[in-house]
Amino acid sequence: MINIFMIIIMISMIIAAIKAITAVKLLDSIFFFSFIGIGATILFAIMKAPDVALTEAAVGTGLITLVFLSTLRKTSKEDEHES
Amino acid sequence: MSRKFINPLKFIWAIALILIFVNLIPVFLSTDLKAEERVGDVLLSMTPGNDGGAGIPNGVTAVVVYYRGLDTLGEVSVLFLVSTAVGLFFGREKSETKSETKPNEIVSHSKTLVLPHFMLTGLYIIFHGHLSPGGGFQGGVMAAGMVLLLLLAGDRVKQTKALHFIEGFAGSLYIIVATLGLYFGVSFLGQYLPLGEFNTLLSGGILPVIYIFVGIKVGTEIIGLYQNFQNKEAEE
Repeated sequence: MINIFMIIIMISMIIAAIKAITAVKLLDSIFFFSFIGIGATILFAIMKAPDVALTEAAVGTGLITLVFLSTLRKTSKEDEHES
Repeated sequence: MSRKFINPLKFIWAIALILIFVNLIPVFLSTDLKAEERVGDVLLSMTPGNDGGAGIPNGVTAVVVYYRGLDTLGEVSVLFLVSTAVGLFFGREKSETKSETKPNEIVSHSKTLVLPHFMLTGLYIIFHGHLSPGGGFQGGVMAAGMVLLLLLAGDRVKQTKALHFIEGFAGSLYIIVATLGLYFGVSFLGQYLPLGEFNTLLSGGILPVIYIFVGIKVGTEIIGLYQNFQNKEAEE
């Protein structure tokens, strides 16, 4: 059941998670975070859980990235005004 | 003397967690167990049937809406609470909406091309929630993604009051449909509509009705949440 493809996705998800924590720019961090969501979507779809995969694709990859990006835009604008 | 104190408990916790999870790895690797022997054996076997079962082919929807319907009700109310909190902090009715940065030209031109497909996919997933993977939550979020694209392209939803009315109306219809089960059926969230033919669109009794209401409520809630999110930005 666990083949090489899944192992590659798992390892890249772990690397992306570490990168998301240690990234200097917050924008990179958000992109690595959404990459984790994409990997989780593929893994759920392979593991025959399409319902969970749909939820992860809609919420974890789409909505959370959108909300984080808009939050980042708002907060970075405030920083520019202060400095 | 600015020597940093390193908590030794950290290492103890790390070693303990690693030891715990190394022991758990064979559980994930073992594939001798069949899928139906792992969890919910009884629920999965009685889902397609008429006596006590939900009468729909999708087992996940049967668990989420029928056997654990109260949990879904709680989930929807938690989302409502989040939407209310965001509206309390960010939402200002009087704030002027002027966009400082013009949206990208690709976004503003491609929105009319992409919009119907987003909407159709979301509605398909909502209406076929009891037959195919997906359901109210996923389809609602996808259909709301359409309006989020509009908001990104610089448009605004003018009828916010209608939006909030639809949201509350769908939420209360969910509870009304569930409460009617006390009179016509067995219990709260009980089945009282005819089940219909198995594996067709008009089947499953109250389950598709409830999932449609959940989809409407989740979709409108996310639209309102994101619009409240953008209000503060235009204010500054």
